Amino acid sequence: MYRYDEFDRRLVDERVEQFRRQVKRRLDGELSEDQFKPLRLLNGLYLQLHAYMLRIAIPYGCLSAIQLRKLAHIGRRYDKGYGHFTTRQNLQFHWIKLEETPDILAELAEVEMHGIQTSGNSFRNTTTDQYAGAAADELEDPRSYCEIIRQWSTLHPEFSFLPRKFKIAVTTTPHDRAAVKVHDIGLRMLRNEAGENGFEVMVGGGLGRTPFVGKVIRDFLPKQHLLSYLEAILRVYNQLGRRDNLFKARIKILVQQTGTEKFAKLVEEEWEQIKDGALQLPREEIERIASYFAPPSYEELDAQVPEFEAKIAENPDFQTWVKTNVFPHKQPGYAIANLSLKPVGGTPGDMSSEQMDAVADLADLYSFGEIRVSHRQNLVLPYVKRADLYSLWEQLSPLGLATPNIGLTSDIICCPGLDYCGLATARSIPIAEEISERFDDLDRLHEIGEVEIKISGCINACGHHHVGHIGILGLDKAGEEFYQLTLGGAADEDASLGKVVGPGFSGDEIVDAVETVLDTYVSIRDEGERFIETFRRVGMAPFKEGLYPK
Amino acid sequence: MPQAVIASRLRDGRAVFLDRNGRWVEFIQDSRIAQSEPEGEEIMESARRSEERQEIVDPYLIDVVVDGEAVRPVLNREIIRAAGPTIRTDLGRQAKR
Ligand code: SF4
Repeated sequence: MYRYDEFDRRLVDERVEQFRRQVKRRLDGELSEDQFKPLRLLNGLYLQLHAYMLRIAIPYGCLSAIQLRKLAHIGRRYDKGYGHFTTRQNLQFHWIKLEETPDILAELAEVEMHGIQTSGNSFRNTTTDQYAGAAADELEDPRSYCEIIRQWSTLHPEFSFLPRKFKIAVTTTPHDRAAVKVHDIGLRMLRNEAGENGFEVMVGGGLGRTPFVGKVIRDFLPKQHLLSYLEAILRVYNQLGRRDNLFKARIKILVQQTGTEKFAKLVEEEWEQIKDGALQLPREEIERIASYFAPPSYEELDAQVPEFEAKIAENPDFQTWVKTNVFPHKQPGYAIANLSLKPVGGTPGDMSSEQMDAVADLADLYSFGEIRVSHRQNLVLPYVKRADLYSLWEQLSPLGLATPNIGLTSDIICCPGLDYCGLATARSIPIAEEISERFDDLDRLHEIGEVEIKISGCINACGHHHVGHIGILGLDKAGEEFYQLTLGGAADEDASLGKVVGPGFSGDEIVDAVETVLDTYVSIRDEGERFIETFRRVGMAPFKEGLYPK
Repeated sequence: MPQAVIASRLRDGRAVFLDRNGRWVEFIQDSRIAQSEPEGEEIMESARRSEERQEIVDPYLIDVVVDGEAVRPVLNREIIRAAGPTIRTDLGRQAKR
């Protein structure tokens, strides 16, 4: 994993001490809330319905066992014994006290963590594939590029006052697990005919009030030009992005209003000026950063593991878990294990301090002490020997972390909604919980197959509802919760925005509506067809008929 | 409609209500209920002074229904602030009473 250098350490330590002084001045009454708010946001501290919320950056979703233990400790000591993993691969604590925040940040700094890049009109934590460094299908480890971007963007003097927040995502696999097309900038690694790796560059994707799928502005960017090209995009945005209207300030609006071609031209012109300058990334520099992400010391193993195959044959529950929760690894004899944070009736993404401690121990035992967070709010142990999978599964089960539902109906992305969030218009978690209870029968879950349900508690779309195969948006209608249903969204390489199916549903009706949609799908699908494929083949009509019978 | 003042306590962010003695209390049942618009303005004025003293953040009036001892906000958002998350009834004020 990446370890702090002297610069990172000093920066974070200084930030903690600076924030300690700021909090003291606030508590002493020297700073008003208007003066203090931008300062706390710079450190990931929000004020929500019940308390302060602290958002902690987990750069590109990578956590060490030591860090996870620290998060467990913070949950226990300063919060209410749990935390919530978000769709940006970060962790939020929802019951934080302002007066304790400097101590929390100091504890986080001990394990090289902080809340920088988690809020405000700044670069946010760059996100990537949760299987980075382990996936059998990746061209290169995307974490090196995320780290290069992190170093370039952190405290970048020219971009410290952007029109709005800015999110970058990177993927290096053909199948995009990082939703790069719905980010301000999406980078997808490709290999050209000469056998060189570079990036397809997309801009202007995003969700929220005005959702867009990102547009390709460059088909192939050689790796050494990554930073100069990003800098060129940011310069164009910084100069032309709107600062007068919060709702029109994201780059997606600029790209939309300027036109993709013209925007691309502006970027290329800017880039011409700087591409051969100081921002070039020499191969040695890429290799230096990549060395932080060197593979762990794998054992030389056979791809075939007879004892693992035997366990699969004799234990159907284990077999089911392997089928959904285990993903192929690039290293023979190893596997990637997904830990579901979506138990039946549970809050998606929530994890207790006890579970965090236990997973940290399991990571030490089975995964070289490394854990990943996925944007779908699950955890991953990236380096597990296939021969160890059975023992791992046996230990995950009593912890409630072995639900075999990755990618299935109950693997729901869900934002905190009105149960915690000050911006919410409706609750989202109870809907997710009810859906998972309705579909608690594993046979039915597996029979339905792959489907992505995503729920947001307001138009800000932290729950990615626009790109759910089934999307649910919670709204308020004359004081009552009310849910809009969208179908046909997707966040992968074939990204699309869902369309509203028709009039919305009350809180009592929405789970029935989801069930109707899934029953309709099962009744009309072709053999082996996934939900999204059926939807694309047949369109909205059959689902509408099921939902609104005449 | 009767009203109460809700705010976030500065030091810990907890949702609090203004009581009859001008103090901030944790339970809505203990809050001062304004029965008229002028009375609502009067308790808001007191809340604003407290905000200026940097004791609380973002005070505002909420509509409530009073039923004997019980006081219940009208809007979902304020019901949740007063009680705690609906999916974790072991947390928030609802867990304490
Ligand atoms: S989508 Fe809305 S309700 Fe949900 S976390 Fe984001 S801002 Fe809050």
